[in-house]
Amino acid sequence: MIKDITIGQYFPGKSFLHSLDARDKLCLTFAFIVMIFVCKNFFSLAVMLLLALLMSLLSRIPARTILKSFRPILPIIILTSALQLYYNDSGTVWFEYWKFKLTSGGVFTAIFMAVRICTLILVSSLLTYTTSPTLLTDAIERLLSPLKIFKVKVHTLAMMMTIALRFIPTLIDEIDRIMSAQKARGADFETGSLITRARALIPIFVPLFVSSFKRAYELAFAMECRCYRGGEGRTRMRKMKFSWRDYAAIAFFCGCFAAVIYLNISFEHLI
Amino acid sequence: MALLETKNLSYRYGTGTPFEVAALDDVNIQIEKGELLAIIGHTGSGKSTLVQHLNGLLKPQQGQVIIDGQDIWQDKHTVRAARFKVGLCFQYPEYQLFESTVYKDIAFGPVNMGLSEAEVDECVRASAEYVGLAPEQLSKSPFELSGGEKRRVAIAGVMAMRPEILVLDEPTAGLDPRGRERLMRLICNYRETTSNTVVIVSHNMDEVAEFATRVLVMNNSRVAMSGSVGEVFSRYSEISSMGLTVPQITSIFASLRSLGIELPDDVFTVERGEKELLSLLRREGRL
Amino acid sequence: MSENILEFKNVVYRYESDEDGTMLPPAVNGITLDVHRGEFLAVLGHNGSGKSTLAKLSNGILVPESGSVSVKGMDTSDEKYEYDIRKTVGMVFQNPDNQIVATIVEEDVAFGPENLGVPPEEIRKRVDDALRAVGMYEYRMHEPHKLSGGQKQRVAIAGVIAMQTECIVLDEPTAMLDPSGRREVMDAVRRLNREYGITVVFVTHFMDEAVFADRVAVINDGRLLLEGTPHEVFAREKLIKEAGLDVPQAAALASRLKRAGVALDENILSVDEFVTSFKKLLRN
Repeated sequence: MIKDITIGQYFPGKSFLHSLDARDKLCLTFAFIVMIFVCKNFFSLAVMLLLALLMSLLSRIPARTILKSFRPILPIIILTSALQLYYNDSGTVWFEYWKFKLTSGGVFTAIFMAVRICTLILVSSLLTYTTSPTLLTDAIERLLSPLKIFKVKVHTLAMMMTIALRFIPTLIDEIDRIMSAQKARGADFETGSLITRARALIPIFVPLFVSSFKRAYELAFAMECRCYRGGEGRTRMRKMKFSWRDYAAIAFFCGCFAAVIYLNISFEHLI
Repeated sequence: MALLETKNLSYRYGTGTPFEVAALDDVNIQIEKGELLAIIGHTGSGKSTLVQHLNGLLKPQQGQVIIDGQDIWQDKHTVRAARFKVGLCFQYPEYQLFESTVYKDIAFGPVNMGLSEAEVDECVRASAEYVGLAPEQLSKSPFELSGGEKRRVAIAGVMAMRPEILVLDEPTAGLDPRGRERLMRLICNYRETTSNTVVIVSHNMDEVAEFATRVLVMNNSRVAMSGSVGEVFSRYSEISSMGLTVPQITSIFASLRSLGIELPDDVFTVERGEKELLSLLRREGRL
Repeated sequence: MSENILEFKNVVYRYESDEDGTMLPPAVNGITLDVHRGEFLAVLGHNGSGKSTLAKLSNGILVPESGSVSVKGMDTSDEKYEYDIRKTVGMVFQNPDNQIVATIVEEDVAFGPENLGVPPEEIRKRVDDALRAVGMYEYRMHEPHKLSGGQKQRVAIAGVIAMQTECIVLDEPTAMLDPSGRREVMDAVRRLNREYGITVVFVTHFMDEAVFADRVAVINDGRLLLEGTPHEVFAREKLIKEAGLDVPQAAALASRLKRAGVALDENILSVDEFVTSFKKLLRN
């Protein structure tokens, strides 16, 4: 159940996308998302879509896995498209029934929106699929480190993220275990009114909190024993270095972004 | 007829993914009334998956679990009934405590069963006694107790459902020798007083040797051996090849026998070992 | 430089009660104990005997109420030594899950050296060496939560070795493991002691683990009950039993037979020792 969610999961591999520097990937993904919103017509969107598809190919992640990540957001896509179909009445009217009017503008915008969301999801999934959470946290810490001048505790934030990532699977296992134990004592999580069901969660969450506090306490001890004193004076084993691939990727992305802007200017805006 | 039996039980984890592994492969076991069955096997041998099938927490992918001649998966009610007929207590059960008092925590199971207040009270008090909790401890918060006491409260919580079969997954894990001994004695007394069946999953062979009436060895998702403690531990080398250890006494006797000394092959406690060696020495005229 | 890496002198420690903040009876009550450089010391005791408290006192996580603990002559109650003490005495705890910080094995092993400010190339080397020393090198890119308990503990041990501590204190590292996990951890620790010369303080209630030690200290009710080689200690079956512990079956069998007048060797601990001695007896 909880274990089926693939968004945010990491698939180890050695593809071109895997080998890129995490900072590079993070920045490019961010730029990509901005550019998607810059797209004003199908031509520029097509460039972005092709770029996203090319990236999926380069990631060597099985198409099935990628498709699976769309499942949870399918309702959002359908809802957005439906709203466009309903409210947008620009362009030629193709079909009319009572209050409902199907217009060319509506259909095009609906498709445009759907493709935009899908591309967005695709690219952000690729980032997490091909970058280990550790690297990602590391990249965030390094990219945000200039903020230290504003007294932002970048290292503390990154450490919190690391620990959260480390303990999420452990806590999921623990929830599973506690649930089984309470079920064995006849607890029922599936039937009854909303209130009964909410109440049924107490036997899960009380033990979970108790053990989480214990874990936190022990972990703090263990970290102290390993000479942890915060970010000051700390070195890192991993050095992050840009390779030719990273520069090539940046150059290629810049080319695509230029194309998007050019196509935006050259052709009529859809939205 | 056996109280509980499994027929051709098979179960695989992660079916349809590259991580698919068999956890149970055609497992057929019988559990008889009143016995103390020990299930042994290394981690990953399938024993934990097996015990979760016994009370219907896991649904068999193939095969059946039959209690009193009835398939527990017949309908919704039989599954729920199985939860209470087979009381399952997980490893480190102290992590399931959540109520404000020991009494309420032990009562959780009986209340879920829909028993009347008087019946619940009786169940709680009786099981508190089985695990050696003093009546004044019932009003305490379970979180004030020591580790060993918490463990016993959790076990009482399962006993309180009056299961026909009490299944304990490594009840003594993490306890020191005194705590282990004490808990095992309490479990044995419970079995004698109620004449209910007890199944324990254990890694501690000394414990198995001392307390079990029958042993079931799991290996590679299958039942590798089943029989009396003597029958199983006499297959000393097979057990070792499964990554399990036998009591030191059993190893000593196996080594001595391999030297050509005539000794029985079913010795696994210190008391019995002493007796056998003394009688050997007398026979040889050395004592 | 002193021969002792750790010195406990008349140490007393009491915990505060969770409810009303009053002091509980002492968990450690006047223990005096030295840990010699390079030795393997097993600390045995039942749950609640004070052995874990003793472990936590060894690197200044806890500071004695009276008496003193010193690490290579540095007093643990002196804050200026805190960092140096933790660099000297590493600690491994009971629950393997609650001491691994990072999401990848090698990152976790690197955590200690990173905190010490070791240069990256040097960390890389130390991490690889430490993982090899505990036999976890092949798992360096794995996620910790997918490892077995024994493997997790070995990662935790590697994390301490990578800090190049001279002494490692293990607080019931095997209590939550299955027999094969216990064996893995035990083998790794013994190798570190023998091959790398790291001083080991191994806290446990499994007597079969204490058998491998150079020296055993038995703690009962916060006091040092017995101290000596495993042979000396396990010969005192009655005293050990009174302390809520057990002696290995081979030792128990030997002492029972001796009481019945059988002329077995002194100080039998293991299966092999028993069999050898018994064989000799039959031949004579």
